[in-house]
Amino acid sequence: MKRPLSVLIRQSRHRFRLFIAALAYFAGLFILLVSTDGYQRFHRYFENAEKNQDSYLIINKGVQAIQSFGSKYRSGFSEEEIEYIREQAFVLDLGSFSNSTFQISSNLAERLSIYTDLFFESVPDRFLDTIPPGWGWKEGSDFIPVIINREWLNLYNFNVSLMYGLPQISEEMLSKWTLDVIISGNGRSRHFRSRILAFSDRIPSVTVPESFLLYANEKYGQGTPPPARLILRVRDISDPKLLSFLNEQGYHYRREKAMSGNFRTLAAALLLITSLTGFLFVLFAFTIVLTTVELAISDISENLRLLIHLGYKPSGLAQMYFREALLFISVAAILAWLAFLEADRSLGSLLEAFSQGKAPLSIREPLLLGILCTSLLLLYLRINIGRRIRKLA
Amino acid sequence: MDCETLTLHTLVPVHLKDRDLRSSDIWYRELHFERGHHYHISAPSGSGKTTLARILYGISTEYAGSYFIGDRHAKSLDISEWSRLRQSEFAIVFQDLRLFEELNARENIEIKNALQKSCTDAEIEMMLGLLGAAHTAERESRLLSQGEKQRVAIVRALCQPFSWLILDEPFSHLDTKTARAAARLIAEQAAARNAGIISLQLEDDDFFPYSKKWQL
Repeated sequence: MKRPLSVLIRQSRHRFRLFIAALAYFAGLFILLVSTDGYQRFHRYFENAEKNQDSYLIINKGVQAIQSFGSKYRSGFSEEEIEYIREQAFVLDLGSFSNSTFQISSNLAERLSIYTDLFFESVPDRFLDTIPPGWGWKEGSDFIPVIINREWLNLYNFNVSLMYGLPQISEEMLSKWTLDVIISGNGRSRHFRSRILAFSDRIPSVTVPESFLLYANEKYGQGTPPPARLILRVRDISDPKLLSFLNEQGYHYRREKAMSGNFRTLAAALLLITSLTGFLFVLFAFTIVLTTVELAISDISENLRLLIHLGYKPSGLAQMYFREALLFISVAAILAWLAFLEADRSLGSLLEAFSQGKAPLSIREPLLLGILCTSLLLLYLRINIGRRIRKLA
Repeated sequence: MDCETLTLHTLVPVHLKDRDLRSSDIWYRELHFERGHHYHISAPSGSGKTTLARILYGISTEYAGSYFIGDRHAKSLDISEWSRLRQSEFAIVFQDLRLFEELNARENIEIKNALQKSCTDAEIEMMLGLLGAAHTAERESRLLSQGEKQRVAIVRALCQPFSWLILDEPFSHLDTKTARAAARLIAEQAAARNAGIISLQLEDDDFFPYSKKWQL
């Protein structure tokens, strides 16, 4: 006889509590799934980014007070030092920065009335993050292509121009301006035209083609001095061996991706915290569900006891009770899963938007996690209900 | 499971252990109950009558000595075996009746009958009628008088197959005429199943043709 039994066992106020408990479980599982998925996505994204792309590192020796008044070639790297660094297993490639040793002056921008002495540096082309069309220099040419550091332009646009009321300059505008450059030294001078062809995130300098710099250093300067800075290509920028080597040698370094490294740590920490919050939520929800069911059982313990004394099997009664909790929890879990899929889609497109590559889709792990959590809850619930009801007998 | 005999072997409830029980025919004795026979056990209040009913029905295990159902030690039975016994071997009328307050009289009986479906609606109707309680069927049990409740409890106990019927002061709220009618119904139903009756009463009575009468 179904009806009288359900009157005895199911009471609407338990249903309401169970509904609240299921709501808590929904929230907890949703947060857990989203944060775990997010954590995983970020992790994979950065892993991929690192796998596909070696990192670059610029190193120099520390500047010391006495040295800076000493010899002409202050903190340069000697041939032996360069060879020693090149031999290190973590160094995939190494290039030298060459400095100009001749005089350079330019009307950096006629319209802004800025006249200045300049300096040039060069690195081998393979270390450039961008090689614009028209890059390179051949003897006889009077055009010098230049790459400048993008941060400098930013520095100008977001600090200098604001402070002095100067107009802001876009990359496109700057690229169109031709500069007049006068190179002089050794009693000679020559007029060149120059233009900024590209902006670099990697090389913090005014970069010209190496062939030009070596030529001009010979002709107008005092040859090319030992490099003050080296650029290294490495597999893993956070390799502890690399870092301890640099520290031992007393080299200062500048990472290309320091910003994204920091961002990565921050994002990972945030996501980890969110994951933990989700986990705590799930734990709370577990507790609420269990407490609700226990309360419901103890509320009608007299009825259950009498049913058992009349010959009802505790396991059957537990099953009836469990079935109701099962319904609520399953619906909550399924809704949390659907909400997660929706969130996952948005998170996916967000990741794709700020990275060039596609963010890998990763449904399997969250699915397993969700199933694991829900099964654990249900299993524990089933055992607990069974034990509670058996105790009444 | 063999339920032809029930045996008490030097059995005594834990809470009565310190009492002087030398005059008892039950506690600390060797007793056999044979299926198909009627037993009368009389005792004044507080001497452990309800405790004995609870022990025989498997609700209480707070006793020393042993209780055998057939050749099985009662304490060795697990809860699902007891459920099976209560569905088809042991019926009981509790002294405190124990009806579900939320249900009406018919539902209280149906909830027991649902387990084995041993009675039809008509048979239930007929039994309630014989006890003069047909009018109570649709009334919520909290609105029933003690006497009406007792009649519902008796019908509920008869709505199952049983080898043993344990009656704990089953007629305490009934007038003599109704009590006689109830006893007649019970005796018929027990005879139809060749069941044994263990009737626990405050005083001596002749409701059933007893094989043995014991003093608790």
